[in-house]
Amino acid sequence: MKICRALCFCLLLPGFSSFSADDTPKIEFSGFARLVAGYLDTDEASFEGYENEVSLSEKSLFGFQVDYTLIPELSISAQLLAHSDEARDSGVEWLYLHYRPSPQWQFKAGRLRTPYLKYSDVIDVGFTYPWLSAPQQLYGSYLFFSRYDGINARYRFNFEKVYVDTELFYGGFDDEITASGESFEIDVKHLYGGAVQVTYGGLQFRAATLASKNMQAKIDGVELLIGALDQAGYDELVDFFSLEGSADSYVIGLTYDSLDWFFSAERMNVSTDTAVLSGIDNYYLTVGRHWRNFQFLITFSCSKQILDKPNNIIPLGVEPQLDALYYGVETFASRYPTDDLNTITLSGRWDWSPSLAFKGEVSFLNGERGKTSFFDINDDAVDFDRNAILYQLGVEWVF
Amino acid sequence: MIKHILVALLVSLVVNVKVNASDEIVVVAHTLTSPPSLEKHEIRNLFMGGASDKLTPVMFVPGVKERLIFNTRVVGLTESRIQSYWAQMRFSGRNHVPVEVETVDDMLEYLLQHEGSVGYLPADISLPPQLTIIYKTG
Repeated sequence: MKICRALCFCLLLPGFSSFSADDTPKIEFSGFARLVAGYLDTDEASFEGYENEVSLSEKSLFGFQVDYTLIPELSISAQLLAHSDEARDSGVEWLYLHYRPSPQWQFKAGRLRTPYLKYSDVIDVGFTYPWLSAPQQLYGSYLFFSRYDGINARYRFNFEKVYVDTELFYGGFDDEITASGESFEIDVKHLYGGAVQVTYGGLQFRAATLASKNMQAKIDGVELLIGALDQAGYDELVDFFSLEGSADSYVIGLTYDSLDWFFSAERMNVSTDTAVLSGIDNYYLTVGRHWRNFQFLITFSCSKQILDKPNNIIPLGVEPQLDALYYGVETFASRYPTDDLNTITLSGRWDWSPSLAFKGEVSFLNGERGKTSFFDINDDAVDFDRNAILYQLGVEWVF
Repeated sequence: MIKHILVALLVSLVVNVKVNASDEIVVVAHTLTSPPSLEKHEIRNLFMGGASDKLTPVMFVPGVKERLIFNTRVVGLTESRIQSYWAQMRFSGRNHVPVEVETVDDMLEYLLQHEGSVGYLPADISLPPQLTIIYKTG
């Protein structure tokens, strides 16, 4: 409802446009909104919040951006978001100082979006990408920290026809992340990385890295288990569940754009010494066709996850307290997401105007039995085969 | 709303917008010094937000014929893709869409008033002496 009110408010504002013919506007207002309806064809689980009934509340959102130019080289930007998804917080998503000493150099400081995947810093602006939902295997990963508090430097140059765009960033992240129905509190003291984008005509190659050091992850109730394991002297299991460590991730991507066809692919590899954030090797491939104001595309996405399992050496049947501890270890280990999933997605986009697009999407989800596969599985759905179809329709708007 | 959508859908299916071979444009610059002759990839980069110390691009708003020709012949992307690109630049804080004008007269007026500006015009237009052709399609 709050999104509908915000949309109505902006529609009623006359001339509410971010652009003017002035050379350096002092203040610019712009924004984006998306209204997405989704339906999952199973009642045994939910996927990205969607269940066996039509829902508008999982992906719909409204964003409002203000850019204030102090001098031509210096500006302040803020982006406010109102989500309909209860799993995400509404509020200030961006707030940063932007300094451009030359056309080649840019520096930002404040609350920023992580420039990691191709669309990760605009993941809430559905108008910018062809799908209705960007491939969950990469963009829904809980190791993708969408924002951070820190600094960012960007430098651009070219060699003849080859254009290079580089970025470096450093900061920290502290927030709650939901994965396969489980919530984790993640605190990353040192988060840093970089991205290089090389463009040659319609061809674009991208490589990025994200390192998370001094990372702590918490899952509800795990402290009690760790305390009990510590008292009982099971140090190896204490280490397993303490969820402290680091993660290094790498992304490579290739994009080709022409007047008729487009192709896009990204592959993400994550290695970590924290069991809950286990090793990940995920990718997607998209091939699409432009036809007048329409785009039609097919995407194959795949995720493979290697999850370390605890060596549960607690003896069963010796005494009741140890039995409880044994089953506590098994229960917590089973709560960690194991997201092996293959998805084939058919998408269509119609750009009705330069700022409004309609999209439709059908995703055939093929997970693996015994794993969460990005599903939030109902407790009584013991026979759920991890296969389902997700239908989505949506409208994307920028202003 | 539904009626408008259906009408727009039918129009987009029926109207066959193509660039004819005779539809040429020239890219012109207003510089006091002798302007550089740019290659196609340099023009493309400039108009897609590339870094430039001296030149500032000016575009037509979507729907103007010259913009369609420019997108097709120089940028090599559809209007939809260009709009997505600029939305990505704007909301990632990387760049802003260049100044946009609505008519050829507006383009001429803007170019003449702003030294260092670069725009595109129909190839058969009579150019004032302050403007120099730096690229020509065809």
